[in-house]
Amino acid sequence: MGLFIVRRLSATVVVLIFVSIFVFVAMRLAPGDPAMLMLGADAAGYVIGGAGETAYQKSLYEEKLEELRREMGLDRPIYIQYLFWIRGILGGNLGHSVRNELPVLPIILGRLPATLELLVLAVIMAMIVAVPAGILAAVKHRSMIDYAVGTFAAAGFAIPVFWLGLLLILIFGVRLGWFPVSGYVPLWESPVENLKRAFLPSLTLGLYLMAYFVRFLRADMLEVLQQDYIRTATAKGLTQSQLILGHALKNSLISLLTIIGIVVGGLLSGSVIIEQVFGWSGLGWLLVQSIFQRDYPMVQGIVLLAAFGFTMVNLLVDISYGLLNPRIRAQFSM
Amino acid sequence: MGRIAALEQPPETLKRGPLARIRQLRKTSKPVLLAGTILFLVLLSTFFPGVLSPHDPNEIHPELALSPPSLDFIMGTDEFGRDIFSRIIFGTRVAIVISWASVGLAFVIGIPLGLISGLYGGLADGLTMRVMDAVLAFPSLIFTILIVAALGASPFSIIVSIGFLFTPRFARLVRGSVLVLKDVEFVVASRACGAGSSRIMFRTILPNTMAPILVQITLGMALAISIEAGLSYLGLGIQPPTATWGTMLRDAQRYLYLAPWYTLAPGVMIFVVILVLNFFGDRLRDALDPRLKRV
Repeated sequence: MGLFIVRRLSATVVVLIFVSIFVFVAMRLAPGDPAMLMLGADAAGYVIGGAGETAYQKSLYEEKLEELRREMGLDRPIYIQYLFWIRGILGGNLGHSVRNELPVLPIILGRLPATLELLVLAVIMAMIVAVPAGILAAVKHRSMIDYAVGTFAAAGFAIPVFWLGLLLILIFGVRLGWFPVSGYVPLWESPVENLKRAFLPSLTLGLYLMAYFVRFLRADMLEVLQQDYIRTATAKGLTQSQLILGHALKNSLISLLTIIGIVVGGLLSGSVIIEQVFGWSGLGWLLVQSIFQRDYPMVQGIVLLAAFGFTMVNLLVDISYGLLNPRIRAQFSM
Repeated sequence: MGRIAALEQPPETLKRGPLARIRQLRKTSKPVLLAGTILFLVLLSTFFPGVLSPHDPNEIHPELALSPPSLDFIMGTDEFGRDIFSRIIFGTRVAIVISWASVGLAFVIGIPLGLISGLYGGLADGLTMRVMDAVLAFPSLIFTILIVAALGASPFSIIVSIGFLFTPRFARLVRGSVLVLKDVEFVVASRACGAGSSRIMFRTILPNTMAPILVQITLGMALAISIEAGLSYLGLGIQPPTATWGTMLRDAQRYLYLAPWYTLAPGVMIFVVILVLNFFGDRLRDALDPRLKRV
């Protein structure tokens, strides 16, 4: 098992290096280099497109630009720049926002709770519905319940999250007026208001998750129920509920771990859109705003953090699955 | 040469397998017929949008802005009085072309990468697969947003971003099949007869991996449509005035109170098209994987 963890860890480090190269290169491809952005798009626009520009003003701007480039190390070879950048990241410095020159990392971490809240609520809502629905569909295989659950899951896969969000706003916000449809209030300021506003966005994400969980649980349960140890347990005279909850479900929930990785990626993607739909000022909202403001250090920071978090979740899932599943454990016990 | 060709034919059992099972799909049921009809209409509006749309999608009728569905405008009009139904029909072309192009790009890059790393192994394999892992390390929409931010919002950058995003799917799939097939008799025989690497890659191994790739193409197209709609909804996709489903939803949200029907139409369209593509993808997968049939 130790060997498995070491191998998995080193693979993760390599992947993260490639991830950082991707992000670095992508942001360098973006129009305008960091020094120009630092001086502000207005200054650049004045020089490039301004009608009344004088040679003196132009040279002043370019002088400033040159100086800033030297200061930021942009005149050095690109791989040196990359290494400097990485050194900064390892020291917890993700750069400074172009907009207000504040460090990016605290701003990002400040938005994190809002996004995490949505994700946690979505998972809770999804589990509450998906676990019983998945079990019922598997136990009553090929019944009306099974087909209904299957239809629901297929629809959940196909429905675009942002449209689902709009529909929920239309029904619960506009028609019924039960929930406020937009805005974020921190949990510690007003828990009630916060939860009221969080309900619709997390329900939207939750419905999408439900489709995944239900489909997976149903298929896995069907397979588990055919296993020998289930037949043994039946022969032993267990009641059906003992059998399902005590034996089959335990097994299926461990398998459910394997799709958590996929699901988290989907959730992070979904939350970018959902936060936009509901004006929920979390990380995804900040990401989209920053792109429109050409605040590339901010974009860079958020994307890096999202990829890092996603990778870490996958690593943890793999390791804990290895720990929970004796067959995988055995493969690596040497 | 004739002898090589004869030996390259996979054994009877393998050959009967996937393709014969696809053919069985033709014994159609009602859902297949329905999904097929929808797919036909989608393709029709992709190639000949003018046939189905009653109005010019960009024709402005300010006096009719945000009017509810009527006989003339069956899905109502938008904030400029443009016919929503016609805009949806024309939006189909954008959605389908972008999803085709991006899946095609992923196919063209991913398949050779998978073949090479599967056949040669070693450093090329390790490096390629780590790069593929790195792409998969990003949540999918965030990866496409990164690329679009770098290249600027345009159809081209959307295609590139989704294409890159899907490349690992194809590369991994092909690499996996190559690793399995590499030592199967008919491939070994073909090599023994003196077939070169490229012949083995493209003529011997590739045709036998096409079945799962077909599934991946279908499901990938569905996902590409939803990603494109998502990007356009965020304002990072195709720019107005071109009609796309995502931008229509973006505009519709502002008039949610005044014109709820505006929100419904583009959403239903995205939903139905993705549903149909997923349906065919799943049917295909079940037909190709006999293990799933019993369940």
